[in-house]
Amino acid sequence: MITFDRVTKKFGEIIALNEFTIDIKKGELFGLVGPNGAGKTTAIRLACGILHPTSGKIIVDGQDIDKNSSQVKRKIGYLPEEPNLYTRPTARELLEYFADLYGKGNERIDELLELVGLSERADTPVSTFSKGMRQRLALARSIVHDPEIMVFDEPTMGLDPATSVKVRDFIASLKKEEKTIILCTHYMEEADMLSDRIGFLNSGRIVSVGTPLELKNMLKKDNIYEIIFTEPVDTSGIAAHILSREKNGITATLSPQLVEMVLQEYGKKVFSIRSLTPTLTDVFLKVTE
Amino acid sequence: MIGRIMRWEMKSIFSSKKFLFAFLFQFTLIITFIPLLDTYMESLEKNEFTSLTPGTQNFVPAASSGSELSPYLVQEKTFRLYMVGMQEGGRLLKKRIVAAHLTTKDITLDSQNPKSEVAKFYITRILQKISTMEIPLVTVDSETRVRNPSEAVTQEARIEIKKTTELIRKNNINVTTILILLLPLFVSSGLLLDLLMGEKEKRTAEILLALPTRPQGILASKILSTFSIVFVQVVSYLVLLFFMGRVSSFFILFPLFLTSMLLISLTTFVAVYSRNYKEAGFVITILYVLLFSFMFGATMMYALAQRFAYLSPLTLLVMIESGRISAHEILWASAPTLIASSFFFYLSSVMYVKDDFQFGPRPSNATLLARLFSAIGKSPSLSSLVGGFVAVPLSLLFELSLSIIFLYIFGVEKTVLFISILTFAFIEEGFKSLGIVSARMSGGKTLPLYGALTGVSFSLPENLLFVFAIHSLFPAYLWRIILLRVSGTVLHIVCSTLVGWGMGKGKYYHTLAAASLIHAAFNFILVMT
Repeated sequence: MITFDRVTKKFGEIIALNEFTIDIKKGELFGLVGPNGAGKTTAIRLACGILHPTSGKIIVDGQDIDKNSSQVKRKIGYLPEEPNLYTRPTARELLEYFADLYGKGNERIDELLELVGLSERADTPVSTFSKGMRQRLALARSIVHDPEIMVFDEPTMGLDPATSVKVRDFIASLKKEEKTIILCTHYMEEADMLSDRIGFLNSGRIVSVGTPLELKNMLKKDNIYEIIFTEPVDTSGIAAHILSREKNGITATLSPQLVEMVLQEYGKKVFSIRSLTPTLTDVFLKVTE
Repeated sequence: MIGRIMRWEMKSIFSSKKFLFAFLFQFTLIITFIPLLDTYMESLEKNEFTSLTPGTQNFVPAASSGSELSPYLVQEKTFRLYMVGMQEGGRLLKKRIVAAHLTTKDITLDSQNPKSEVAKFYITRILQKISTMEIPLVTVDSETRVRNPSEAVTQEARIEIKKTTELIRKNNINVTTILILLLPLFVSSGLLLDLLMGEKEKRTAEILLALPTRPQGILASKILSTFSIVFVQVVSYLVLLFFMGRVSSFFILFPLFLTSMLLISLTTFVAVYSRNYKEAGFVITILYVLLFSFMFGATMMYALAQRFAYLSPLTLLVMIESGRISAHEILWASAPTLIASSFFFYLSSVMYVKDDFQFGPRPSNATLLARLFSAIGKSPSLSSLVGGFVAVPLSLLFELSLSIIFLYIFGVEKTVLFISILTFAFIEEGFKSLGIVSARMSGGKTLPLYGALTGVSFSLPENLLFVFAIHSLFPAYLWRIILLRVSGTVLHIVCSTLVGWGMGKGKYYHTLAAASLIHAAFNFILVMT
């Protein structure tokens, strides 16, 4: 459905995306995860035809987005990181305006307002809305034309837990409708919970792609252990395997031989040792280290 | 899509309380300003020596009181007129004859036609500065004389003011009143700045760019909304002025439309180019001052240099109000504005679709201009030639605008000395650097050579402009000017080569300063001789 073919995007001398290649299937929810400045927003702006690649091609539903921009854009609903809404009109007026811009009627407006929980505030100016309400309205705006493809950039960023749950449930409901979705997020549990596949992006390149399970299984061959020491110890001998450190403890990916070595070397200083199931955060730390 | 965005923008603007306030404020201003203007005109009539109102004849009485001719006329009780041709007049001026009437035709005194009873005087003083004064003629003992010249000056000032005011009353028109109509053009241009910069700063532009339409369509919808708002405002004010008996012809909508086009295109360019409101506000303020000085200045020169005055759309206002305008003149006077506006609209639409201007770090100004020239020029040599050529209108625009501002502040002598000698040199050397930069961006290594080429391509249009201007104004000096322009060409080549060499050695600013000083010294010698 969406193919990035060796896409490079430069801003002056800065390379935001480097030979980015990925293939997102129809009906798939693809999670794009990466640290700040990895190129996530650039990638999704390219997918929406807002930016233009310096080199490479982006094919959406069989059409080159640079050549058939208008046709392709009609199929895409884009939710940027910030809601970016006009604040003077009411929620209803805003949705009606965007429905009109996409050549659609106002039939879905009430349903959408209901869906994002803004029915009661439908005729209130957007300027009076809280951040969470604006984010939900922006979500409704992005799908007002019932697009086949939806691109969400950090949809739960800065929202309170209750609103975040509502937004995630809403995205999950869209997934059931067989929509193709690109979800760009910082939150690993969000990506894990919602995504069919996840792509880890680092320094403008895809470093790993797979289902959440496949990615976690990458670390399975080296079990993850949490080791607590009775006092601070020098762990430089196994530094390369350490995922995170705490005051008197470490989390590390260790083979059975290394576990044996740790027990021999640190002996009585080991207070406890237990095996952990790898999380997407562990995978992220591993692939972006 | 364009129509839908336009409807939305216009609905937002017309329902905005700020806009309604501005609209009504201007409306009130016009109603109150016109009686005030009448009082002002009357006081001008009483204070015999000052007339600041642009006239609607083929000359503009700028200020009679400060005429250079006054002290000479006071000294001489009777003033003899020499009826001579242009060449003889030039010789008289050289011999420091106080004043001479230069004409290619004999004056015929015709009491039925007051215009032929006015003679034009030219007077020379230091620095070959020439001023003009028009005074009425009297025939005494078959010789044409002016009796009691100081009184003549006073009378002339009176006549001039009277003539201006009578003309205004007679035709129910007032150029100054019409100039009030420029007010909504500036307010609306501010709205456009807000429409474009607001979208950029609040990042709503990102949403619009995701819409299924070409980015140029979005830009066009914003521009057309502004035009519609300008139209509504100007027509409302025109109707008001019509009922107040101040406007006789709705055809003045045309020059107002041209002026708004120039303003809107320039504002679009600045809004698309700028990173934020602060930058846009700063740039637009400077540009509006320069543009307004240029437009008014060019129109004021209507009598002296008609073709130059065509550069300003306001000239059309004067022409329409004087009732002497042909289709040919409309074409001439519209073309520069249409070309300049189209150029700015084109540049804006090119920039608007570039990701760098919406999201990325915007390239530096030098890089942008050099990129433009190198895109046109392709090779380093061609880039430097294009850069040098383009530097001429850019320098000219800045020089003329600055000259007009300085003329009002410092007067003629200081402006000639300060502006033409020092400022022109710095402006020209600065803009010529673009040719060298663009050659370097196209891969050129031998920068002094490209500097020399830039100097050549700068000199060519500059020389043509000089020869054209001199031929129109002072045909007697044409050959002398042609010879001087040869030395000017050498100067431009030397200075640009020096700057190119400095740029290659990493001493750009040092050599730019040195080249500007050499240029300034040359200008000084030129002016003094």
